Amino acid sequence: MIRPSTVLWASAVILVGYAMFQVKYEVMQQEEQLARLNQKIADSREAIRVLNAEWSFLTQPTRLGELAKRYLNLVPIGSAQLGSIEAIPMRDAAQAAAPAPAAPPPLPLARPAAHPAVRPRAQLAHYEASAEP
Amino acid sequence: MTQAPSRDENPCRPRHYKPDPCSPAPLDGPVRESLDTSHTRLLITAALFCVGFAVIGLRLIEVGVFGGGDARFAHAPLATHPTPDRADIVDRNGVLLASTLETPSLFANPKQVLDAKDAARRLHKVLPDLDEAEVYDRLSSDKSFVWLKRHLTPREEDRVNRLGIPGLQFQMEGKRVYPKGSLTAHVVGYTDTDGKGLAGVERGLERDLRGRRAPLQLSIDTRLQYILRDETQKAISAFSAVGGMGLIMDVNTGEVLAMTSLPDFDPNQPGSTTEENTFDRVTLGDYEMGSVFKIFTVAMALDAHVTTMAGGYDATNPIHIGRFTIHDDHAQRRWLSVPEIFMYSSNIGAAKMAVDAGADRQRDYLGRLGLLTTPKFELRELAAPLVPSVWHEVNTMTIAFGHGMSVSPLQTATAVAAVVDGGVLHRATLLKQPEGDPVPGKRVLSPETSVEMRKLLRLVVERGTGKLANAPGYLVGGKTGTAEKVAGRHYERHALLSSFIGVFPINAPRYLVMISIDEPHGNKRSFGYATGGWVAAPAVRSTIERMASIVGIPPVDEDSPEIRRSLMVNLPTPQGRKLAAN
Repeated sequence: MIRPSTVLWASAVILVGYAMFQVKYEVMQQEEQLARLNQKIADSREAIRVLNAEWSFLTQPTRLGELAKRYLNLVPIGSAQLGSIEAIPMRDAAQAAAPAPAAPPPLPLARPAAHPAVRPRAQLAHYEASAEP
Repeated sequence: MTQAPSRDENPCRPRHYKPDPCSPAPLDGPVRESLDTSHTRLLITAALFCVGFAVIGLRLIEVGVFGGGDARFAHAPLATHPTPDRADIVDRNGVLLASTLETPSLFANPKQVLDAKDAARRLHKVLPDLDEAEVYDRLSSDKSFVWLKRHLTPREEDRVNRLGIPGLQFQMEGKRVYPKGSLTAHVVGYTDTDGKGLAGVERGLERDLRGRRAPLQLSIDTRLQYILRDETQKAISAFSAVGGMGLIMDVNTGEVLAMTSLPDFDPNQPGSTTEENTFDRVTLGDYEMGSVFKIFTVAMALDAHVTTMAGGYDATNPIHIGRFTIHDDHAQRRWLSVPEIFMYSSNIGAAKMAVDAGADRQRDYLGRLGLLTTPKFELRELAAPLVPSVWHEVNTMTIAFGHGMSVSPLQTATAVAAVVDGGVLHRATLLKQPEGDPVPGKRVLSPETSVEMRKLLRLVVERGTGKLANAPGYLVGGKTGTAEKVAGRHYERHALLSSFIGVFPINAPRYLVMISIDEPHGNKRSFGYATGGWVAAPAVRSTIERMASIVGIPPVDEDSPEIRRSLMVNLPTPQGRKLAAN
């Protein structure tokens, strides 16, 4: 005859054994996941290094100079174009009262646009945004 | 007393019942005592075990049910930082100049290669730069490890993998890459295949780079480096010169912001260059700097009170000494005041001034300015100055205008920076100095001398030999220098080193820009001249104009009274009449 206590203990042993293996498998799984994540981190780190190097390579001043020449209507700023706010005289009252001119004349372009189809500034802004850490 | 009937005598006792053979007789004495003791001990032990199990059980419940595990005790392999063998090198703004990337290297175990001949043929097909015969030799050798090719590109790796040749394997190895290419070639240098520094900072700071995680920050500014290199290259091309060099220095700290030596090379392929291209002219070149040295001669004469700004020397006739004749390139054939001697770059005047000061004093001042000893610098490519062993009068005279003594452009620039920066010498450095705190220096000249020298340098650009360096609004001061190069034991009349050292803004010096062009040939634009004032000065001017807005120096009104007054120089005449100049 099987005593109830034996049944109790036997089921406890089975339960505990099951639970133990359950935990063990779970831990194994998590360790695998951890290893995978670690690998991913290492890969990402390496990718960041590569991308940093590539960014530095693509932003070589020589290359940027050529691209700017091709796509931008900009020339280096001259010292005559620089000034300070204090150097600008205040508007006198009579001039301030007169109506302002309708629109300022358009600034002359340094060079005709070579490739009107591309929008390099927008692209540059995009690159700059993605370069932010 | 009625005694309970014994069980044996019980008529109703169960059939199978047998009385204990010896029923426990009441025990007494020592036996009973020892039984009691062991009973107690057993109880205590059992109680201890119960407590132990209870603790473990409670803890299990706590951990399992309430999740009270402490992460501190969870030991798991964390992401291993693949410690780079070498730290990255970045410029003063954090722009990457050198980095280490993991690339696959192809090696083979010849013992596992089945058909060496076929493998060599197929490898040569996908990696054309491998020599088929050599690969065959290696694959058929007795070893169990042979390198085939180091640092493959991802595409090459893929192609080799597709071949499926047994016995070929890859190993990840760090490869040094220089994304800015030749731009900073001489500064950063390069390493060998195993990552050992062979030149530049890679060699000079090998110990700092090894096993370090944080990137090494240089004082170089990539933007200025580009401008300087661009302008130097333009001057070299315009005057069909053999080479050139440039240097931008922060005179307040001694930080080198840009340093270029042309022709240069691609540090990513150091093998495919020549010795001439890897030669760093700025630090390793010894040159007679020519009239640039008059800065030191005049500074010495003023500092030692040998003469004053009002003094002067007769420069009517050339000086004949021994087999030499000293004459002026821009001869005025009259008495010249000290500012005029400097402005017209008079050799005769400078020579007489130096003789007045004496050889000992000259040597003392040049030594103080660091021109007689090899400088301390982060690069190993350093030239020791070539100084005459015996200092005759003729040496004193020629050194006064920069001949008969050779120094590196780096030393020259460092000394000029000391002259303009209040007479305080800062050691030149390639490492970024912490901002804010002043960099310690060594006083070599009085502050008054420095102020006078600034005025004289401004005079050269405004009215003298350096007019083409005048970048409007930036108050450039500077000195031209044209030296005939030494070839063996005599001077080459037509092989010149034409230099210009510019400092701006000269009323409160911040930056020094030096450009030297090696063996320029006069062109139409320069009316055939190949002197420093025609060749290097315009290059310095463009450099300053392009860099000023980057370094944040605003242009000023050069005609404003306070600037005029601060830079005014009196030009005395022999009659005592004074001409105010500026």
